[in-house]
Amino acid sequence: MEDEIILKTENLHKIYAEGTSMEVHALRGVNIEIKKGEMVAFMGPSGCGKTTLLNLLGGIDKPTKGRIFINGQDIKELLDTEMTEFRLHNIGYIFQLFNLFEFLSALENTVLPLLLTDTTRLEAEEEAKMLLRQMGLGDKIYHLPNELSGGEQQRVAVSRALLMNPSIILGDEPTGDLDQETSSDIMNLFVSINENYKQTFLVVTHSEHIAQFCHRTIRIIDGEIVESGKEGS
Amino acid sequence: MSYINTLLQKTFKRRIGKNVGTLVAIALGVSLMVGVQITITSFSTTAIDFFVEAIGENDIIISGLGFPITDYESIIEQIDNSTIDYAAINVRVTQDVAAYNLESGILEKGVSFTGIELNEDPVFGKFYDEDGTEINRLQLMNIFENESHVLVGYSLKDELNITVGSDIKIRIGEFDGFKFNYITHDLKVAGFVGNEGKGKDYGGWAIWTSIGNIRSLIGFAQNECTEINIALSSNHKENPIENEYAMQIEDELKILLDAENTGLLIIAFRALLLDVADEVISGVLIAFNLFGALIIFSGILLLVNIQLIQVEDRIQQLGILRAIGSRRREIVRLFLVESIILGVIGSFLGVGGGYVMSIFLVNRIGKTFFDNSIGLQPIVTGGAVIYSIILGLILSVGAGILPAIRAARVDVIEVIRGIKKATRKRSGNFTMGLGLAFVMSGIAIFAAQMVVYDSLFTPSGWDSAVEQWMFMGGSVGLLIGVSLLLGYIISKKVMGNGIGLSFIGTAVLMLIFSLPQLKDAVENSKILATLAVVLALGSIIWVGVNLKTVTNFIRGVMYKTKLKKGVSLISSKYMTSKTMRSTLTFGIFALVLTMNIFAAIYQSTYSYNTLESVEFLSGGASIFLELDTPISNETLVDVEQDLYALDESITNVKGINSTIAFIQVDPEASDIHIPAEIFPTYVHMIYDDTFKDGDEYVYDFMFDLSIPFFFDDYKPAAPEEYQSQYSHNIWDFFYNRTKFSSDGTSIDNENGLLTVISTSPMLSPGNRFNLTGLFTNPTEVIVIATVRQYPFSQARGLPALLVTPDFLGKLSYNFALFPKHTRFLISTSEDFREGKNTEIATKIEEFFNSNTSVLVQNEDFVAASAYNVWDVMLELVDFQVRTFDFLQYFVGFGLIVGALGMIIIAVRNVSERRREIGMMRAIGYKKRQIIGSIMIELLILAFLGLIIGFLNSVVLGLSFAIVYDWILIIPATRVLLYTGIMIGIAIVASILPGIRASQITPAEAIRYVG
Repeated sequence: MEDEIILKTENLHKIYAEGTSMEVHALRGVNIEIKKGEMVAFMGPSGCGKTTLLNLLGGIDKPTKGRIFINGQDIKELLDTEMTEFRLHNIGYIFQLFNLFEFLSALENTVLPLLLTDTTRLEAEEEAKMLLRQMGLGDKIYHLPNELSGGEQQRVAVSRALLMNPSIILGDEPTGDLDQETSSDIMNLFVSINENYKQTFLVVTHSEHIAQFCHRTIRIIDGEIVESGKEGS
Repeated sequence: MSYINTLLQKTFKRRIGKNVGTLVAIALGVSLMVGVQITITSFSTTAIDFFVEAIGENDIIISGLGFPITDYESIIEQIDNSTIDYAAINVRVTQDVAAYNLESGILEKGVSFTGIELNEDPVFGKFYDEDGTEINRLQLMNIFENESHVLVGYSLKDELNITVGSDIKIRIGEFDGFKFNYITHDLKVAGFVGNEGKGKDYGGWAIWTSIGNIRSLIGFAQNECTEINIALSSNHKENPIENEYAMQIEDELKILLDAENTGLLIIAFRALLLDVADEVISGVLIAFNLFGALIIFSGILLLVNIQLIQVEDRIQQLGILRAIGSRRREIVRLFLVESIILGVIGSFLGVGGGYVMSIFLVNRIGKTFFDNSIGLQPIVTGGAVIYSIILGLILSVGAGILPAIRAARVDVIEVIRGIKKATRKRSGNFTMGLGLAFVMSGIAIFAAQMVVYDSLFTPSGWDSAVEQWMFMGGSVGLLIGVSLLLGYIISKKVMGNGIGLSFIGTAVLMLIFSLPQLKDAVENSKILATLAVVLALGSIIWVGVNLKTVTNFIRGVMYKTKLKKGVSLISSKYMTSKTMRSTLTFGIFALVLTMNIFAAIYQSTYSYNTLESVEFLSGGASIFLELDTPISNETLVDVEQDLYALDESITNVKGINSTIAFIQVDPEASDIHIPAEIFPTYVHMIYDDTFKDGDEYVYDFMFDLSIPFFFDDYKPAAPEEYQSQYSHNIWDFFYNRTKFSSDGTSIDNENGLLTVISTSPMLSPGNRFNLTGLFTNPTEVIVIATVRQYPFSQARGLPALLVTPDFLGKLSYNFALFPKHTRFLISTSEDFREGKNTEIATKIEEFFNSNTSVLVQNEDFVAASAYNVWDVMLELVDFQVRTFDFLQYFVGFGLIVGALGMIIIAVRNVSERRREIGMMRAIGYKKRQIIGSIMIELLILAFLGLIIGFLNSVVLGLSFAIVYDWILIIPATRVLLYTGIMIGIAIVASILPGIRASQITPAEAIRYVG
């Protein structure tokens, strides 16, 4: 972990259905700082705003108020196209339900982000295959998601998130759909990647067990940070 | 159970937007089915009404063939004393006359001069003036008090350019016991008859007087008339008379009145007219049915497609329902209720939509076919509506419920988690059993119909639609059976390919090889309509089965473009993953294009070939002249010499003697399709020097072009020169030999019957029938060949025959008594297609008809019509072109409705993929790449549809070209236009949902669960 701040938020607010009777204030003035190479767990009860925060940090949703800086870039200032490009190169996403394309093989699911760049197909596939082999899926690269177990599917999702070598990897309950043993395997994988490649991991979880794999835990209740946690906590 | 009801209500409300989309798509699908049926029904009913209105309530005509029927009162008494029950009866005296306006010098021949009883039953029509006011009996008595005062039909009034008080001259042939003497009479126009009652249609061309006046004018006795009309019902709309019943009465009357010996012609006229109307409209109807079948097919694809989307969207929900304890039957019930609600509402909306569609189409029918769009209403039959609703319901419920049943059977865990468990391999016994059943049924059909034997070992081949249908059924059954067995042994893909190719192969082979064996155009069209659907179905199945291979290929091509590979990969793979839906979507494109491009190809091919062949087929007679009187009776002119003097461009003039005789057939034993057992025909007497000058052909007509198997050595595809030479051989054969055996020809005439050449599709080579003249015994003849030249075939719907002087003895009375069709073939040195021939034709008419004519000045005029063959053909082709314009309009509706359906399907398709689109956005797909991926998908399907639609159209066009010996014309501009339109539709249908998809917030989309 380095001292350099890779991600920072300032007074982040997110209000859904603003001005209506259904209005929900999901985040209320969140301020966080994440260092490069840090592994951070976001914890809190259901509906506290964890996933909302992750979506804002990943740029797939926009804050109602406040600013988000990633590598010093205020992502709120980016146009949609710029944000998409930024996300492609800087952020990897892993979801609880894996979110793989059911009609694409493990290899095709993994290689997708690289196919959106100028890399040739063969080069992209070679890289994806290498990554899948590293993930222990060497013999299943042509399998469709519904032919893989939950753990295997999540490893494909991880491979896809890692393929572009992003500086930040966001995981929304990445092990929420897996048993404890497989969850530990996945988290160990994250730790190993984090140690080897110094990528920053932000993981939303309910599980104290999962949080233990991270450098620190940020606790959120009702859209507010109640505990920023300390390094190594 | 109640929770299922609650769930149903909640789901229905929550998905209201999607359900509306589904409803609209079902409604559009049903609209196409209903619209096509209403339009076709309206066309046939309107066309028949159009024919029938002209004859009022008249069912049966007893005619003396222009001769007086004497003592008609005793005939009526005989009828009254018989068991025949009629509503009304009248007598009339009618003469075919030429009318001449002395002031303007305009002459019109073929006018009906009719005398009626003033107390005639109003069932036979009332008189109305031009303002629509009824002319009562008292007024008629006043008008006709003066013997020369007449009422004139509104059409004739315009044609002759006359006003009330105008003096007109008519010319009537009076029979002196041996021949007609032509005598002129002066008449005064006392008023006009409007387009109602007696004035309607035929009455518009009539000159009306009282029966007493006409008897006095032409010298008929008080107990004489020319026709007796019988109405079996006083209101055919309320109390219709079946054709068969009318024909039965016709038979009874023939026996009662001893028609054979008295020479009375008794015809169930209304029934005959309905048959003729059926015949006339059947050609157009078949085209409608062909395109209608394709349109309905695309409607079915639309409907099934949307229902599949509706169910697939909710597979995960099914898993959840199963997980919480719902039984399969409850889930099926949930979908059943939903499908029925959507199906019923959608089908009813579809009936409304179909009605609206038919309003436009029927209006167009009026403009195209009847030149009268006002008051033409779509005719909705209960049967069509019920049929469409039931079909719509079966399809929408079937397409909704079948996948739901299948989905309800899948493993709960599989559905919820999307994990595939190892499944028990099916034994495939069912496939094998089905395959064997198909093979057996195919063999059974072949065996039962002996079609293979017929085709190989009998000269007639497969000459009926039923035989060809049977062959089609047999071969498709056999091939599908083999495909299923191969599927059992090898793979499902082989099976799918086998089935698709079975349909395509059978259709293509039949189109090319067996269709030309059908001689009858109607039979041809029946098969063509079936083959069009079989071909379309086969090509859709085939492409569907190979969709993966095709899209892999296309993806490979797209990888080489500047398009981001991620976009190409997602689009093509998604498409292949939803094979059924993609195939249905592609199918709609393919069908719509098949219809539109084929209509364009057919129209162009027809126009080109018809016009291109006119000069060749005119045989050198660029003008022909038709007279109402045999000019040989005249002493004032020598037509041939005078015409040469008329214009120096005229190079040849040859007169042909013509008469009217009767064809008699035994309907039980004969396969000749003429409307009645006794039917009039024109007979043209051809002498050796009529066409030839020595050995040179002055008029070089083509014989037997449509009969490729006449002689064994005939080469149908040979150049025109060969065809010409062949035609000469046939002519020599016809003219010089009347006795021949089956050696060297497929026509057996061992009995040495007299031979005739037919100009009508009603009478084909090999047909035998009796030809009857007046006062002569019937003579059995055989048709040896056909001729397609306009100067002979144009004969007011009646067939015409060319005969040799061998017939002179048998028909001499007819030539003396009915010499109303004398013709002259005229050739000129002018360019065939230039307008100069029209000027010459006008000059010829003026020579006979104008005030300066020597004939007119001597009050001994001859009514003449001269036609420029090229102009006549242009008019004929123009009607056909307008017909095809309507067909384009017709299929255009298929295109519009199909396009709307595609947009709905595309929008629904995207709304089901919100989650995937969210994932794409999260990964890094830009908005334009999302739009691109959606568009590429539909464009690929459109592109495939384009190729298949084009190929299908060409195959269908080619088959027409082969059947009619035409050169296939592919109108590049129009093909490009339709291609552009389809691509435009695909772009519009994909860009709207694409834009909508790109605006989906990724964070929300990822949470979407359908």
